[in-house]
Amino acid sequence: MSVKKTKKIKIDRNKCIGCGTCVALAPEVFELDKENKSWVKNPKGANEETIKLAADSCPAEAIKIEME
Amino acid sequence: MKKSEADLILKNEVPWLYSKKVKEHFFNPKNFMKPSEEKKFKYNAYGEAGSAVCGDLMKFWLWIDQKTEKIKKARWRTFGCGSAIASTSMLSVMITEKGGMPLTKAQKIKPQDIMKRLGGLPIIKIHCSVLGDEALRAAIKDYERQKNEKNKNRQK
Repeated sequence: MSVKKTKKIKIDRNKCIGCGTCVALAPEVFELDKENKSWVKNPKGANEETIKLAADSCPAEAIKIEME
Repeated sequence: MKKSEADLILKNEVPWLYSKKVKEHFFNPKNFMKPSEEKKFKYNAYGEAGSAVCGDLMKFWLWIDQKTEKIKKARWRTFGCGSAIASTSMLSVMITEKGGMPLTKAQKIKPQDIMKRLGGLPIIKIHCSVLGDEALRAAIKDYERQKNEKNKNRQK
């Protein structure tokens, strides 16, 4: 049996510059709010690979995927 | 503390290299809107996208066949870097090849689809490549808006 791990996507609002790269790569997961900062609207909106790509592509390194 | 570029590349284990395809499109961009043809180019859809924070801007002009709703011609222009230029050049090829892409399909193009055709992009340059499909969608929206207006006027 595999150990179930939940992953949490964390966005540092102070780092986020609102460029929208994460939204372009994973529109079902990320969205820009009124202040043009990214937030997670649905952590299960895309597969792990896509979410990792979005996190790795963030030019401000504002997205972290944490294991809980 | 901000990590250096070299740290980033090492961390992500991606080479600091552009693929052959990226270089090809960077040095010889396809469907680029030349200043000399801007006034002559016939288009029925225009869209732009940009992010003030990253300082880039993308413009897209389209000539859409109204009967088939396929994209027959495309032009674009950007302030962007090699990654932005190559991605948008490839995108413009994708939407106009094989007799033109239907609007419904063009609307669904993702940055990942463009990256695949380019043979990949260095991960720290991916954020530069996402403006093209955004501007394309803005142009398609512009076309739909004009179409709706025309239909409304007809009904009056």
